[in-house]
Amino acid sequence: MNEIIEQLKEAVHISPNNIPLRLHLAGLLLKENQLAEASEQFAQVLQLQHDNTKALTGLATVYYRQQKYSPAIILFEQLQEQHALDNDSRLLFIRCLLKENSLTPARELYEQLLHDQPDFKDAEIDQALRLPGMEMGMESEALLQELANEHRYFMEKPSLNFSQVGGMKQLKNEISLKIIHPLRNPEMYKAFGKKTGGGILMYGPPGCGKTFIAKATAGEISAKFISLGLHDILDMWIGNSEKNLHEIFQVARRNKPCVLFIDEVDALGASRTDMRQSAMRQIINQFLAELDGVKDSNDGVLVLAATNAPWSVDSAFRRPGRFDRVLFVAPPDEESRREILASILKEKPAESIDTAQIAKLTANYSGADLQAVVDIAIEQKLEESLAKGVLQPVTQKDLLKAVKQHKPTTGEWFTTARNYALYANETGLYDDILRYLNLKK
Amino acid sequence: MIEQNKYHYIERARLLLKQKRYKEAEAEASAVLQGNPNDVDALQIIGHCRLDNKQVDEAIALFQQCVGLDAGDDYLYYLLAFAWYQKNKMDKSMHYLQQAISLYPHHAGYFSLQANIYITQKKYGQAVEAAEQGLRQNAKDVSCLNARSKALLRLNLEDDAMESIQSALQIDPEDAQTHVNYGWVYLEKNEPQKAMEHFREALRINPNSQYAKNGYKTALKCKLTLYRWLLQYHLWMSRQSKALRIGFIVGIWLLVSFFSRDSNTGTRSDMIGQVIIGVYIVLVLFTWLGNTLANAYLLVSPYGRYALDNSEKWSAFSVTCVFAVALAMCGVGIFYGEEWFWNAAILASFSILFNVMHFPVKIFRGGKKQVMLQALLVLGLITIASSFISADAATVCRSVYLIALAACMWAGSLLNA
Ligand SMILES: Nc1ncnc2c1ncn2[C@@H]1O[C@H](COP(=O)(O)OP(=O)(O)O)[C@@H](O)[C@H]1O
Ligand SMILES: [Mg+2]
Repeated sequence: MNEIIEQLKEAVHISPNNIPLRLHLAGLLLKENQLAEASEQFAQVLQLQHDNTKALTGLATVYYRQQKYSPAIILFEQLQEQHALDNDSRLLFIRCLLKENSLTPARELYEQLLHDQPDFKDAEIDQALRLPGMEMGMESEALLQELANEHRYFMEKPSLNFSQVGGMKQLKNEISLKIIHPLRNPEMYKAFGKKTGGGILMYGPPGCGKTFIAKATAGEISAKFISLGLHDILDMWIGNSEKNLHEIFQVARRNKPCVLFIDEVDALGASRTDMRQSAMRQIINQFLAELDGVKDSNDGVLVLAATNAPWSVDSAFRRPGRFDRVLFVAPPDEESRREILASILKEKPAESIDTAQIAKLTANYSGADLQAVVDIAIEQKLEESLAKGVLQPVTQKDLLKAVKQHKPTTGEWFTTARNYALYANETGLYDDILRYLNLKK
Repeated sequence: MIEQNKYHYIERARLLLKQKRYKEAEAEASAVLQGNPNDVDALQIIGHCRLDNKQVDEAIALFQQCVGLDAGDDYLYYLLAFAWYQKNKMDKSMHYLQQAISLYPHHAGYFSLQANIYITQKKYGQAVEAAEQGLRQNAKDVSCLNARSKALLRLNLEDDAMESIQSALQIDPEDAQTHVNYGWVYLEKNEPQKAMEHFREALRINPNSQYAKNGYKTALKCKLTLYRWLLQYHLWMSRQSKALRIGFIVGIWLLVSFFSRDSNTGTRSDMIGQVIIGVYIVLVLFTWLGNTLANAYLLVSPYGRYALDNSEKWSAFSVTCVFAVALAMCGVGIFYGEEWFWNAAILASFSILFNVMHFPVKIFRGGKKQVMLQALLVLGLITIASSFISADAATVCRSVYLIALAACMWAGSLLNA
């Protein structure tokens, strides 16, 4: 083999502009895994003819083997533009994209590949892309089972539980009633002929513990817990959404009892103006159908959702049987603030802190604001400790100083919410806000 | 950053921007900028976020940067035009808008902005033309229909305006801006009840619309007959050209000073002259203070209270207080002499200052006009204080204060005309 290569090298030397010859040499070098030299030869061809498909493919393959994924992707993209992407290069392209974490384009390419070669199967790519069964030429039921077994969707049980959530008494009660008890005593509910299911929608200013309490709920129960966040929802919009949504609900149903938590649920509905476009409407309808359990029963699937913008949540979400409990999560009151501070400070080096005093001074602060206050104090203390070489515990004075530095962030939300409560409250949805703001007539 | 990867971020950022999640949208776009600090798409998205958050200067800087990188994108020029429109710089706005239109003359939205610029410039005929050009691109463009109706209303073509608005409402009954415009048409026709319905509807659709809220407040105040007259006067004035309005103000003043030219002779015509001056002053004060006094009425009405913003509340409150105290001082004056009447008058004149002052007051900051108002207020307080010290000093202070006040008012009223 090496002899042939040497001969070809010489031939190329004599007629350097002979493209087929050079390509032949480069191909052999690639086969022999002499990557550096192969790369040089392909590059030479590209200098002569910048869109030579074989050279582009070859060089991209070299880069892939050298684990230089980003330059490989650039070349593959060029090939794609030239419509010269064969199935082998496509596969490499997908692998490169996966290495670079570009899931969406990878998914698209993979779907094309499967379209051309329905029998193709690659466990690694399947795993990374979580394609639904239909497209993989696999029994969708089997796939779902596989997915369910793999615990892919399920949140790991957090160490958080209700005792670490300060305040929020009413919400804890409501969640207990609707979610925790039905899961603990299913027979009791059955005996009284009460179906378990339906959902709770929490709304309120950011940073007041909606996500936090959902996580704590997961810690309280022994049931499975699926958590969907803003980014998952966005990816539904960008990718092929309805299938994913259906798939998630299916997994939940197969693993009941199961809690499905959807954070920033308003993202499913986009804004009012956009919803008139039917394409955007689809995902909402799909979601509603899943909530209703049109095709499959939702018995034992408990849905918990949270939003900062209840006004962007489609009103259809609130019909009976869907989110039948809509709960306002207000900024913590003084007592709750004290509890929150205590729980934040519990494992921090601190010295005789009077949480009650700080709680008194922090009206309108959200849980996240309190967290920020403590963080500021700790940061300053850390610097001091590093300078002095001894650990300096956080003191009351530090916290008081931090309170002055961090202003509450809930005001902005209430400016908007107040307007909705005053002028768009036909259904009484925002009565809690009116009450909170002392505007109830 | 790899192209494909980049579009993933950009697509997400656009989606987030559409959902008004500005912070998250900026974060996605920033991720792209880390790979390529000159990425036009990302810069544009961040600019858009800033624009929606009223950080107009930052937005303009970003769009400018984008134009430097890609001079062929019409939408960028439109965004620039819109930003300048928000800053009330109509010439600049028009300049960029024309570039957008010349690059892509088929976007109805571009023409609706053009129409709105013309409306702000009181070039109503051109505004109608621009709106109609937009409607030729898209006959169902609600913003063009709205702009058209606004311009027609100013041209005293009420029926045509009404028709334009009704077709807008037919196309999209859930458009807050259309309802606001409808409300103003009814106010113009002196039918505040119907106006109120539409402002309410607009607020229901978009409770955060400042335009809707302003209309709503105006309609509420129309329960006061005096305010309704005042509104009709203001609406009438706003239809006139700038020259005409200045002419009107100066003309009335000349007329009044002509009739009262020899009001010191003690004759019968002198009496008439004084009455005319008196009426004139009351009317002028009414045009200035009427709105704030009507706000004071809202302050005690169950719905209106919530619609007022803080600055309006404080203005209304302080103006009312000043009048109440001035009245009390007049009462004291009956027993203790002329000094008190003077002080009451000076105190009452503070209402003019409070009327246009921004609350909460930033002491000697907040722009030339605000500083001037505060200076006048201090001067007035010194004048009142001086009356307790020496009569001569009080006389001097009074003249200085009154001359300064009069000068500022004249300058102000002409500038605002
Ligand atoms: N009731 C609470 N008890 C303890 N910590 C809280 C509480 N509420 C908020 N926090 C703190 O604030 C952070 C932000 O809260 P989060 O749940 O993300 O707010 P939201 O989802 O309502 O916007 C939490 O991670 C937690 O540290
Ligand atoms: Mg949250």
